[in-house]
Amino acid sequence: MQRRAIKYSKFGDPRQVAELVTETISAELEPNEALVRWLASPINPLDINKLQGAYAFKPPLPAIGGSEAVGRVIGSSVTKLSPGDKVVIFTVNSSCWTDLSVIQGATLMINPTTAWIMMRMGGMEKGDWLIQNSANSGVGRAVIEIAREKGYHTINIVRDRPQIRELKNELIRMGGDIVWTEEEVRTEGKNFKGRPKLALNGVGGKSCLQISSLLSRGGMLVTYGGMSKKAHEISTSSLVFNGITAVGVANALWMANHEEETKIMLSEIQEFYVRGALHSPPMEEHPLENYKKAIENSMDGKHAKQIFIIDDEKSSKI
Amino acid sequence: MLSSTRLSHSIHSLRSLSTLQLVYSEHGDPSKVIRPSTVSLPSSVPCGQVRVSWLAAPINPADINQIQGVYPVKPPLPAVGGNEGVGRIEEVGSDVSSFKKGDLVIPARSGLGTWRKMGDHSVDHVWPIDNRFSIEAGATLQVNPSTAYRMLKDFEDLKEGDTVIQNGANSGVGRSVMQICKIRGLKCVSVVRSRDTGMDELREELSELGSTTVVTEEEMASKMRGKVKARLALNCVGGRSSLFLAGAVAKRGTMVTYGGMSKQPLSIPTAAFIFNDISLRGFWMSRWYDEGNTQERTVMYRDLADWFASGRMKTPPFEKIPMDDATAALEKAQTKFDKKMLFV
Ligand SMILES: NC(=O)c1ccc[n+]([C@@H]2O[C@H](COP(=O)([O-])OP(=O)(O)OC[C@H]3O[C@@H](n4cnc5c(N)ncnc54)[C@H](OP(=O)(O)O)[C@@H]3O)[C@@H](O)[C@H]2O)c1
Ligand SMILES: NC(=O)c1ccc[n+]([C@@H]2O[C@H](COP(=O)([O-])OP(=O)(O)OC[C@H]3O[C@@H](n4cnc5c(N)ncnc54)[C@H](OP(=O)(O)O)[C@@H]3O)[C@@H](O)[C@H]2O)c1
Repeated sequence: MQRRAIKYSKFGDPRQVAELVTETISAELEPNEALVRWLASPINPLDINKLQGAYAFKPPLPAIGGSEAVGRVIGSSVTKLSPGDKVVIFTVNSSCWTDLSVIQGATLMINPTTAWIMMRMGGMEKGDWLIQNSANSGVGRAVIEIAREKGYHTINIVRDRPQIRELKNELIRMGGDIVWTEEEVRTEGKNFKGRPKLALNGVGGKSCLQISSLLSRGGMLVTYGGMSKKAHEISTSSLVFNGITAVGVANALWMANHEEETKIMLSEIQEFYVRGALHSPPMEEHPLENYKKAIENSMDGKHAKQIFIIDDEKSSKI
Repeated sequence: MLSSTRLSHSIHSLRSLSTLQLVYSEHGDPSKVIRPSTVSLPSSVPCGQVRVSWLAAPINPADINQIQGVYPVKPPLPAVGGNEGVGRIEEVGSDVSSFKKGDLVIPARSGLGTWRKMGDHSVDHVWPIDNRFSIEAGATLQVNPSTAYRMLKDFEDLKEGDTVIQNGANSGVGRSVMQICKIRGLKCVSVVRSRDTGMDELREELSELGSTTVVTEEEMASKMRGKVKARLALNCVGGRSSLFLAGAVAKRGTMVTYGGMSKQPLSIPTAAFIFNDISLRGFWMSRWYDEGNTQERTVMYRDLADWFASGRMKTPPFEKIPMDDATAALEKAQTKFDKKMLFV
């Protein structure tokens, strides 16, 4: 059977190395295989890094782009999967997300799980505060919504922009307690009474210094991304005198090492989605053939998350 | 507190003893705000106290920062400078049985004020040490060798053959680290600033002390990249130096920060956090002492006493200066790092 795929055969600028190809694959299944029709898949920062060859795990080339998606099983030799099941990648054997829209399913795995994993760190308890930068990212928004579910308070740092009012209101409506621009942290941060136990850092550079300096004694800084492309700054006195600990998180690695907890996490996240407590971030939709534009947008830092709608069955339910 | 007690006693005493101490009454440049002052001690030692004749006290970076007012522990002013040193008990208060004349003591915690010739101190403010310690080793026991000892013990379960990497390796702490590494059979990669003269000698000296490899900051950023996989990294520099140090930490290893000589914040690459899953921690010796840990402290001092007595550990190079030359010594301590200043 024929399939279309966005492939790359060398590492480099994603805008140049990615191409849309049509190829023939065998529809015959080996034992323990399933044939899935992918419905939608987002472009995450990680995908851009993969194409650039800047990611720690380099796929053998040529490779197909992307790392998370929702799809429908159309053929299966796996006992737990039947044709018609809706699946998300990575969890083929445990979940089918029948009640979810395609778009929610497609961004289910990477961002909300990262948010969930980080929030179980640092000894957070109901009523505690956390602080995060890149609060407007996919991960950041999931942090806000999951924190509300868990009863944590959030201080959210975003970059300033012309429509900052609207963004602040939106994040507060979602459940954020405080939203500051990076400039406001400087003025408001010091006077703020509550000291967060946990700081979540997806940016690096000076922003990391800002949020880690506000931690309470013995607090924890968790780094999950480096959107500013600058090294993560931490003051000596935060570590020595304030006794903070700084760690990193990679969700795939964590899930591989925490099988039982992963199951709990996935059912909790799915439940949040179904109940309407958790939402996908705003996204711009593209058909596969628009890949050049989508990659371009995802790299210029001015657009919402880009998502490929591969096969539109948004209204369907099984 | 201490000085006011002393004052009231001296009023009542018939014959008092006068002694020199280095005092600051405001925060600022140490060579400007520190001045010598003569105070008197009562003729007999008050109850619950011991009279200590301070034999030697170093000038540490923390002392400088404390006088500048940028250190988190700020004794009430006016204060006597200095946080560590060694002294000998001259006399004990009538009800004191835990110390006797001739015992060697060090401060129990930081903030005591050791830049003085003699002082009366409450018995809980001093800590007995083994009489085998030399004056130099005793005067610098509480901070540097102890910091090195703890950092090599409390963060990673290091086994013989494991690798430790450290920057600022030529510092007092750094030299203790490499010596303890050698004693414990650990490999030690020592990173130093390069210098135009004496680089070869420094490499040789630090290797002899116990470093398996001595590299410059420049080499860390170039030919050493990806070459070292240390379970534990010790950072007292920060800035760019910490970037390459963190890159040399093995998967799930730990980097412990205990100082920031470059005055720049640490800089950590994303990959070290996310792909190598390293943890960053801080260590502060004073807090460890404040937390109690009395049994562990006794064990540590016993180990260190053994190591110093057997010659397996040596004190760093000192320049001994009389307390009357305080200004010059304080200036030197902030600009020249090849020798530690020691008031005697
Ligand atoms: N460790 C893990 O397991 C893991 C898992 C998931 C994601 N991640 C990482 O997490 C980060 C966010 O991923 P995502 O999918 O949530 O991203 P996303 O939804 O595409 O959002 C990217 C965010 O980055 C912000 N940003 C871009 N450039 C920036 C800069 N120079 N300074 C400050 N902020 C900047 C944007 O801010 P504006 O809103 O102001 O445009 C936006 O909010 C990425 O680095 C990704 O690799 C890591
Ligand atoms: N956390 C704690 O409990 C604790 C305990 C003890 C010490 N400390 C800290 O540890 C550090 C070292 O203390 P120490 O008493 O061992 O110091 P030290 O013997 O006075 O030595 C200072 C060292 O710092 C190096 N240095 C100075 N400026 C530097 C710069 N800009 N970049 C890189 N290196 C620089 C010098 O290198 P050269 O040899 O090239 O001149 C020298 O080796 C200090 O920051 C101190 O506050 C902390």
